[in-house]
Amino acid sequence: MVHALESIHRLLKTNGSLLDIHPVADVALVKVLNAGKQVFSELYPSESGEDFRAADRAIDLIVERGLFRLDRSTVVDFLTHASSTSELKEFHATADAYDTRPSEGPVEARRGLLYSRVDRALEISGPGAELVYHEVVRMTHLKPVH
Amino acid sequence: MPISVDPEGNETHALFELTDLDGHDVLEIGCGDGRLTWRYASRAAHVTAIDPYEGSIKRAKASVPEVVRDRVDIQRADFERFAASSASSAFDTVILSWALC
Repeated sequence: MVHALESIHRLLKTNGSLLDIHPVADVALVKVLNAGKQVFSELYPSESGEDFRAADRAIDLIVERGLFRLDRSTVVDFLTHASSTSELKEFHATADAYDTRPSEGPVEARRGLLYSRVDRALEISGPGAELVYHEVVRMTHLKPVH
Repeated sequence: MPISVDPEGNETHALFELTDLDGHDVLEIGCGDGRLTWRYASRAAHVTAIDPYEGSIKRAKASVPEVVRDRVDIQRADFERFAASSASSAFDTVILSWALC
């Protein structure tokens, strides 16, 4: 990661800027809403938390080394709306296709159980229920130091 | 209802708050299917959008909005190789789009 950031530093013009966008670790929720009211919410089991924390550390390191200076940073709610668990599963399967690590059995099993509970919440909630995958995303604006 | 990613535009709004893209040469690393790219590209002078995954690049190329077609260059590329073959000081802005992790 740090090597990639060093390469980015070389590619940027003197007054250029770098915007890093990546999720905050271990806070993603699967929610069921109906008429704007939350009727279900649980953490989504993920194997990516350490990757996100490593990205945070890489950003901190390049600032400490004086390669970039931190301009501004913010966090935003990042929502993905789906109408069914099968739609959300497909969305996650596409996202997970980027991950070359072998999938861990326990996490897969926990996701399966979560989807079952979501299906039940959707069924109980009735017509108009909406499924939301709620991530929090950190966006960091950095300026190269020359 | 098809799946809808950040229809509230929270990510795009924050992007515009944090960085000025007007007239900039932008490199986006990890463009995926172009979901974010299409939202800001009209502000930039030129966007080079790269991603190492063939499937994502195919979807991106198939969905380029006409309004930004002339200013977006989509490439299947691994960043380290792309960087090694690129000139120094080539870009005003680099966006790491969910790609550092």
